Amino acid sequence: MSSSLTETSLVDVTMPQMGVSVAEGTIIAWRVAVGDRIEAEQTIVEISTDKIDSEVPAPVSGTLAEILVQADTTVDVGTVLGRIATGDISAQAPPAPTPNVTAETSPAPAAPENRRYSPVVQRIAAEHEIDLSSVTGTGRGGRVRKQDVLALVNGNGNPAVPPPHPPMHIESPYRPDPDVPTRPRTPVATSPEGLSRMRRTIGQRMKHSLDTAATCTTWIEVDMSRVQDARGALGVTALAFVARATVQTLREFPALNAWLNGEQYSRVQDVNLGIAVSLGEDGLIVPVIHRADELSTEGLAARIRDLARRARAGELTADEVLGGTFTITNPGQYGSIMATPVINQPQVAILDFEAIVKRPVVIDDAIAIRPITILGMSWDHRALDGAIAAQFLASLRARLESVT
Amino acid sequence: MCRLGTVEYLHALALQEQVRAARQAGVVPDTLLLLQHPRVYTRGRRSAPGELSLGEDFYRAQGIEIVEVNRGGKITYHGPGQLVGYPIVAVDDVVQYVRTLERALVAALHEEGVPARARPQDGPDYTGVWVEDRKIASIGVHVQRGVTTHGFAVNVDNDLTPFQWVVACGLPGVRMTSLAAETERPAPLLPCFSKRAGFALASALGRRQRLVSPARLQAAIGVPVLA
Repeated sequence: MSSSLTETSLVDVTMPQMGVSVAEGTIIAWRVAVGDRIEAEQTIVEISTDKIDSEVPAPVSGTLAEILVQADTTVDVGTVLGRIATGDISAQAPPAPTPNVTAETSPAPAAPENRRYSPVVQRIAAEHEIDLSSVTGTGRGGRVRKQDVLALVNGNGNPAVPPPHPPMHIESPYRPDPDVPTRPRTPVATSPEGLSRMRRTIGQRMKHSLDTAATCTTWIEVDMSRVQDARGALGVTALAFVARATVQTLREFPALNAWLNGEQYSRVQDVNLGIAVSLGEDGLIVPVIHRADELSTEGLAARIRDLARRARAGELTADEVLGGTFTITNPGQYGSIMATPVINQPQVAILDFEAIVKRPVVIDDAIAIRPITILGMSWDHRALDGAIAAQFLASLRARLESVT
Repeated sequence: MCRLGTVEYLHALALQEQVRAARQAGVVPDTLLLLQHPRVYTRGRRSAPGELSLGEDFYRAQGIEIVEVNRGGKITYHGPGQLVGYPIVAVDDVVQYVRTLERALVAALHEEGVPARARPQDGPDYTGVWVEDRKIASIGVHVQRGVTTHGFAVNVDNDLTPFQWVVACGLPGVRMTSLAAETERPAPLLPCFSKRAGFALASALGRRQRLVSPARLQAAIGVPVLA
């Protein structure tokens, strides 16, 4: 196939100025694929700004030579979106024979270079709007193979696919169980060994808590719509919002921001917020954000990230795990919705924040879909009564449901 | 301006495209189609799979059709009692045009005693007309070769429940309201509001209104207007 580059020229298609106040636009979809014949004024790409969709007509007749800006991408006015090859169209390379392809498949790309592509490569490229001329081939003579295109689609990420949302609960203290050996014929225990020092410590402290505290757990359902909206805007996790709302609510109910040692009950002035962090198989540690009441949501998010990272790297200092007045545990990333957390002694309460799940809920006598989470709080009945716990949770819910 | 009564969504879509072609060819002047749709959800190309979260069978059991539309934007609902306006007009600044639509609807709603407002400062997701933080009118515009299609939908006295069964316009948690809900006046409100909206829009676009019958429109564009 001989190149006809010398007889063609490339005409840019640019993001049009749709209004004096418009500086950028987003590609919705290309109506034509690379290699398609185009008539002047034919709509070749659809764009959107401010909820207004516009069709961009081809400035000239020719063949779409390349697509430079893919769907769902936002660019400034004047940016070149693609190029149309004009000139002696009859001299353009004819489509490669496509014997195994049905009639509705896109025509073969009339590549501006001397390259040929198999029908399957063309189909995958057309589906994912990949410009084949930019793909490095690993086949014989640099030929682009199916694997090359698939690697681009899967590995390097298709630019048309938006990046996945960050996981909601990266700070979860829990991790999956280690791999279980496949189907042992008889249950076989691994060779007995002593518990690690950390496991022994965790065990002693949990047992001590359950033996001393009069542990009760109270739950409340919270509509997380506004948190979900706001976390996107701030770029922080929902946990940061729960932490901020908890700190504010603790200021309102100081009875829960306290220590109970034997019969010595003392409220603490500062809110020193513990966040449970998983160390994988090694166990669990609760670093403390001292004077968390002085931090904003973003500030709390940054501290949580930093403490979780350093906890896993074993870099926490002693005073960073001491002095907590209230603890939050956040194991919801596997979809669990309720737990009965164990109070971190000598504190008097611990809040459990699990998965946020979309549920049908009744609002003004109609059914609506809302992201719901169940916040559970274990509290020590020696230090307070259920009414305070319920009021605390109601106030916490009100804060989370009015996040702006 | 042409009042068409109740028109199936897909039929109205085809009609818009015919009027647009006529407008682009200069055969007809700027035209406003005012109509209502039977109960329908329309899904755009950017609709997320989770928007119809109760399952299509549920919606069909409520008598609501689901129509896939070759347009941008997210899911929305149309139904009787909602005034739908499709201005098919030549524009050069589409953002200004959308602001003009908002101004016209705000003016028409003010005449009805509703303290409506546009909120362009809140960003493109808040295009439309609001009463406090309740949405009363939606706007979505398509432009091809300088001529608009689609337009606005004002909740006049329609049932608002179907909005709660979906994530309308991709804005979860937005409450919809209507003229009837805001004024607590009895139906029917639509005939009167339709006239106010038509007048307000013509004024905002700097035009004098000329009412034409569907038959005149049909004669002008050369294709049947009503099925």
